Amino acid sequence: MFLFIFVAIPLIVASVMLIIGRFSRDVLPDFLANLCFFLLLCASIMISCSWPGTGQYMHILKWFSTNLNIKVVLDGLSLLMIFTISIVSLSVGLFSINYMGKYGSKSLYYAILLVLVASMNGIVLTADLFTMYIFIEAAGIASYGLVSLGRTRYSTEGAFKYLVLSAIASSFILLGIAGVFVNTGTTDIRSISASGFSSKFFIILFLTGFSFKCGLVPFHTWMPDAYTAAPAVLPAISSGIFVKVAGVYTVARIFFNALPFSAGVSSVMVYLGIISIVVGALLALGQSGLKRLLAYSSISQVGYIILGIGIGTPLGIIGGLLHMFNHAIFKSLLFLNAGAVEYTCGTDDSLKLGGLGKNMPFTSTTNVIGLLSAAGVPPLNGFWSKLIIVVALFKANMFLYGFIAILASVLTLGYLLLIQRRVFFGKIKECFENIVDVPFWMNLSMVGLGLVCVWVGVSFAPILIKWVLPAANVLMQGIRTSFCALGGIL
Amino acid sequence: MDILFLVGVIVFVACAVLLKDMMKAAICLMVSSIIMGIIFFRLHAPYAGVFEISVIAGLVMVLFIMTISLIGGDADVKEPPVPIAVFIFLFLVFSLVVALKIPGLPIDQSRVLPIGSVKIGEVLWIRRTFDIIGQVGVIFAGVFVLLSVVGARRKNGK
Repeated sequence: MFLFIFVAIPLIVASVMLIIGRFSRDVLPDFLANLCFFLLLCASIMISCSWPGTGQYMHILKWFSTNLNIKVVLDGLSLLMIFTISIVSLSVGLFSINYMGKYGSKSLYYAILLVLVASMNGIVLTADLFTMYIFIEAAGIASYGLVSLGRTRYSTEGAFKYLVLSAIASSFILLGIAGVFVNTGTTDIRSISASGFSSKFFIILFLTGFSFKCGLVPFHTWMPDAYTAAPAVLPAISSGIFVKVAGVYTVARIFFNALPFSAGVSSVMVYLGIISIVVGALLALGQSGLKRLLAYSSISQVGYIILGIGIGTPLGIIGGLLHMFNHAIFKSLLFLNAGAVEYTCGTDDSLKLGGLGKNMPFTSTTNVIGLLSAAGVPPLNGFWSKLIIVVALFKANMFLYGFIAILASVLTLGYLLLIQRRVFFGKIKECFENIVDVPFWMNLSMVGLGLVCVWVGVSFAPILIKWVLPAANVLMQGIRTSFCALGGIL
Repeated sequence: MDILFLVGVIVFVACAVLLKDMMKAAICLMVSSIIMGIIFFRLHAPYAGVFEISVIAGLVMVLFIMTISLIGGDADVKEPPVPIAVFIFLFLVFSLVVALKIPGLPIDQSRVLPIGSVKIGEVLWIRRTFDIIGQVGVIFAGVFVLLSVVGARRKNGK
């Protein structure tokens, strides 16, 4: 029952949120939603503390001794994801207390956000491909809702583009699941793995579908439009965790734990990763809008994650998973910073801004932390994960890709520092002379994420041992099974 | 009985194509999909039935309705006189083709579940219970998003 709360509590709170919104416009929805996120974070930390490091927890729900057959499974990889979802959703929830006031009904917004969180938790806690698909769709629909909350022509356009492209991606995934079901007679991940089923056609379908969800080049076009048009909390949670849960996690789960991880899959993942890193970084260079620039930067950073996991070596997987966690933290922070600037100045166009650092010290400082983490500057969290990925590339004799990854990181530092200088440094523009830093909850949220960046960077070994290594072990187990199966065939 | 269900599917699908009001067309498609799911159950393919209802009647419908709301396609539209003659003609041609050209589907009997081995309720409520929770999430998300879109429209005075 304990594991099921990650899905049930947000859904239950979401279901009563609209009724609560009738009695209290702001206070109760703010309190209830954030209490829910806080409880989920506490629960994920509690599970992490009691986690033995290997194996899995499997709970089958019962209702008065009747078996409900709701099988909730948690292993090292799910634990890392649950922990990441909990941290980012609490930060976004706290940020929303002040930020979402101007975007209409808060109770409706929190209801959508809670459904999104419940669905993401559902994706990582199920061991069934079809159930995973349903939760991906639920999370996708909630995401469209958050994009359309912008309530402008552009946000509707962004939401529509997101909706259409995501539906195409979903049809690829659904076709893949149907194919696996027809050939194996099951959608249970363990049973699929035990059947040893593999088919290039269905692998291509899955890779295409999930590349859309990840926003990898050339399937990335939805991301900049959707993120630019939406309130900053959507890109913070979407780029921060949704893309990882619906894209990276599911790719890893399917290709390491359900279908055999082959050299072909590894090559395609490495190519997609390296192309995304380069194209994302180059496209980010010419952007002046903060959210648009960060959207392109996200494409580049997700490329690092896919590249790391795609190498398929233990070091590469560890680097990819650590970067997934780190990117969730620093990219959410950067998007929230962009939201804070937009909240105060009414625009996120860096060409219209300047010298905000003096009047917005918290936002400016946390933005520096976020950008240095994104660029992989020591001793912040992004440094360690990028270092591990680059070392893994060199160890796998992929020297060219290693150098490209380093160069792209320098490029990232370049465009993010340029934005920092344009927005926060220099002489303040006349129209912004009287602005003050954002309200308390927004600052608290940004400072919290900034501290996590520093904390993970300074004491990264405990994080690695507690969360990342057990997750990497789950994927490595999949590779070992694949090799055993191949050995059996050969 | 199966013939009745098949006729039902064709009628509702035809309505989905012929109706100009997109919301009504989407609802017709949903009904046809539910009947299709029932047909799957009757043909002893319970999982196909559950997946059909989950995906088409559940997920895809929420996506359709949301898209229609986003693009403003749910405004009142005048229905033109339904071209019944065309529909009846096509229906008869279809029935003739089915009767003459498709004597039976090549079904691998070893993969067909024995009659009465699995009940609809068992698959839907017991074997795929977690899917129902996911569907609750889909429905909640769909309803909340629709409310949000409707609220935005009212605010913009459209």
